[in-house]
Amino acid sequence: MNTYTFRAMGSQILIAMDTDSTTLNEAGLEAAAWFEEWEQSFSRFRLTSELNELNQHTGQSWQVSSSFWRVLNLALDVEKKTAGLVTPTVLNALEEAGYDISFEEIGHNISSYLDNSFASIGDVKQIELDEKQRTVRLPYGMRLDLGGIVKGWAAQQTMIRLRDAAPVLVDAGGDIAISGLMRNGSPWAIGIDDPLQQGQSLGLVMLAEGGIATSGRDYRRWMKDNRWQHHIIDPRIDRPAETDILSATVIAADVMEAEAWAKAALILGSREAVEKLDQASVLAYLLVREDGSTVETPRFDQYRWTEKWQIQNNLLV
Amino acid sequence: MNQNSTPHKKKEFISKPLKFIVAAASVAGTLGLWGIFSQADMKTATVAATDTALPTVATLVSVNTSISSSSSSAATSNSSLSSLPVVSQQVQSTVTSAPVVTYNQPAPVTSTRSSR
Repeated sequence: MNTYTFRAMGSQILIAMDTDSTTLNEAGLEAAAWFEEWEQSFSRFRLTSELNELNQHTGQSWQVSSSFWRVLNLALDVEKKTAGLVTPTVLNALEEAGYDISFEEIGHNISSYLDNSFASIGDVKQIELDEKQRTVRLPYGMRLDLGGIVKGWAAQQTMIRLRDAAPVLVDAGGDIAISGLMRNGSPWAIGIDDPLQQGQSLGLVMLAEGGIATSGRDYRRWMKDNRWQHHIIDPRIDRPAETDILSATVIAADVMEAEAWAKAALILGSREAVEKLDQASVLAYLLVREDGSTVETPRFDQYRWTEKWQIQNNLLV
Repeated sequence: MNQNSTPHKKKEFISKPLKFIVAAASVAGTLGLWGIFSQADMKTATVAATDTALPTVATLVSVNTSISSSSSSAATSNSSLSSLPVVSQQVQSTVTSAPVVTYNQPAPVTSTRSSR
């Protein structure tokens, strides 16, 4: 299997295509250009990004690009589906928690310029959208962050654009979109990293299509006032989620849905997450608690690789 | 005094040729009987060895193999009857063994994790 990797959106991007290396390299270069274009639209760490321009013009109707329009509407759909748990209006709270520069730049002395007050997140119903003019008007003081949804969307878009050339898998920092079976009829083998032991795996899942994503507070975290802070904001408390889940992995019909429910599960904690995920349209999930115990849906076994799975599916992988 | 002495001549009741004939006949008879009996044994042994319906033949072969192999691999091993359970296990595995298919876990293309 040939793979092409590059860095974008503060993450490692991997393109795997079931084709020859020349086609893959051409596809990889194209994908890198698409990610650069999207990063220029959606990054909150680029002063001239479309997102920052919109955030700087609150109270005004601001015209946005078609990509931005689609991602914003997707984010609002996710907000509705998850009953407000995953919302794009978390930027003020994120920055108050200390995540106001890219994660790579966050130092150990971050708490020196933070105060303990957390900004109000705001109500997405106050966002005014004009579809004909493709304009967005944010209420005064509201600032958006689309980082919670844009990597999954970018992975999905790249997969859709490349899938006519060959079966393809796109991994955007752990959010993975899959086009379909490989040419020999096999599904794609995807590992699940152990959040407690770096370099270790919790197993292997075999996916034919759809998406898989993991949300966790094991990596993007930092110390503030002798407490660990992380990047998953709970809008009910306007601060990093206080949860017993260390990481949540979700398999769904597409990577954006997987990403959204993985975040929602982490925010909810294991007890409530199980109830919500069983009601949601996700295909399977695996939750890792802080104490190392795991909770998984029985359906997860349909995807987990075992010798039994291999025999039942009669595949030569 | 001059004495006429005549050499004592032992009287022969059985002549030398006759003795030779008796000895030769005895040897020939012994060898002939030996050959006849041994041929009969060979026939019996051949029939037993080619009869595959007898499971004891296979067991005996395995017993001998096992004892010889165990004595050669371990100097302290005992080739007495107490080692027979080991032999019987080997016979069993020989009879029931079938090709075992093992599947190796495929190599992952990538892995899912919290955003990196």
